[in-house]
Amino acid sequence: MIGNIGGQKPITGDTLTVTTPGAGITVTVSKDGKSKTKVSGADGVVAFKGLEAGAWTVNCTDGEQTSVPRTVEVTTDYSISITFFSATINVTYPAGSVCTATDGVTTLTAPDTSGSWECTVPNAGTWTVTATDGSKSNSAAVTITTDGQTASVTLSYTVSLYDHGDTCDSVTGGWEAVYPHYCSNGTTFGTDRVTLIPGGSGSVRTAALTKNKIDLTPYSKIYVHHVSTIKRPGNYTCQRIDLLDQKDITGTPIAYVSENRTENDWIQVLDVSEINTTCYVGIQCNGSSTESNLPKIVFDAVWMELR
Amino acid sequence: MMIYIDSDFKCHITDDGTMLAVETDFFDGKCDAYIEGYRFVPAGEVWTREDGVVFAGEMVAPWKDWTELDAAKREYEREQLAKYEQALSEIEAALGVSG
Repeated sequence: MIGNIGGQKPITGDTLTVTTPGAGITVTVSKDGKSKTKVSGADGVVAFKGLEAGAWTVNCTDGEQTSVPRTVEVTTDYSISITFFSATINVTYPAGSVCTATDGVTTLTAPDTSGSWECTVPNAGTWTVTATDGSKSNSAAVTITTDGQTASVTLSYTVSLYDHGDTCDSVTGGWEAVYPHYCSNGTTFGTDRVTLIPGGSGSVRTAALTKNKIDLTPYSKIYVHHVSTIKRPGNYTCQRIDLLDQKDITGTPIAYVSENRTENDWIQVLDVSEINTTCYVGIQCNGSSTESNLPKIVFDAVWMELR
Repeated sequence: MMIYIDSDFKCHITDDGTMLAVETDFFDGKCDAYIEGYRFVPAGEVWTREDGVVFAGEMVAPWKDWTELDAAKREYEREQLAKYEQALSEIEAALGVSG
């Protein structure tokens, strides 16, 4: 700070130096409704002197392009380089969640919790996009390399194990038919659904089972969407979700749910919130039948929800 | 075996006079600690978890960390195996045969 000397107006405050891509760039700094504007010279540099301390917003334009607004905390002489870099990450996330994007230096926050965010990032790098709703959270990394790039990312609190024909092999390793030795194979993997018709007579069962064990530690529920059930007259038909330590649907599972429903288009759910281990996930049709009177269930989706 | 479930569908090995008796083979051969770490929701009943999710029976799922229940089960099985081996040794000794 320099005091009043020889009648000159005192010069107080700090200096903000802005380096732009070239000459003729109009630079505006603003704070609390006050603003100052300068045009860069041949060296692309403008300096604003006498700024009061605090957060100043810097904008640049060459008449055609406008930079992404940058915020600078002025405490002492400070400089910043401005570029016209801009890229977009289109984020889809669970509605009601808070969504952020950060490259470790800059953190951006979605303006609302609508579930859709067109996020403009000011520089290249790896941006981590995170959605959070209470204790649930999920993230994904997006790599931005070029000015004008557009990338998309979808965040969800659910993980699919089977989705209308997609066997989600990266998670499940695929699905396989499993049935007791006294039954015949009644599991059919169709183009968009799985059909379970246990073969044999008397008490019969057939199942679809994940080839891999699934780590359930992060999850609280497993869901199955049942498309339809055919319960033969006089027979019982159960829809089951089993969590198994061995590939044996006749053995005692770690947990299970078994219902005897006849309607179409309903969702079955199993509590897995305390199952902090890996196990096979099985969907089973368990019923009684005669050879000419077989029960049948059809499902088309299996998914897990985060805790 | 017969187990007993309380108003929150948690399993017990004895009835305190307020519980519902349930016959099930799910816990056959399991130790008390394993049984009492589970919840049994009978068919026709529903249980609402504290986050509001509704689960229909028949559902059998742990309410304690299953890895702790599994550790208790394995320890119990080791103890049972040791007892059987001891009993077998005594029988062999009585018969004058060696294992």
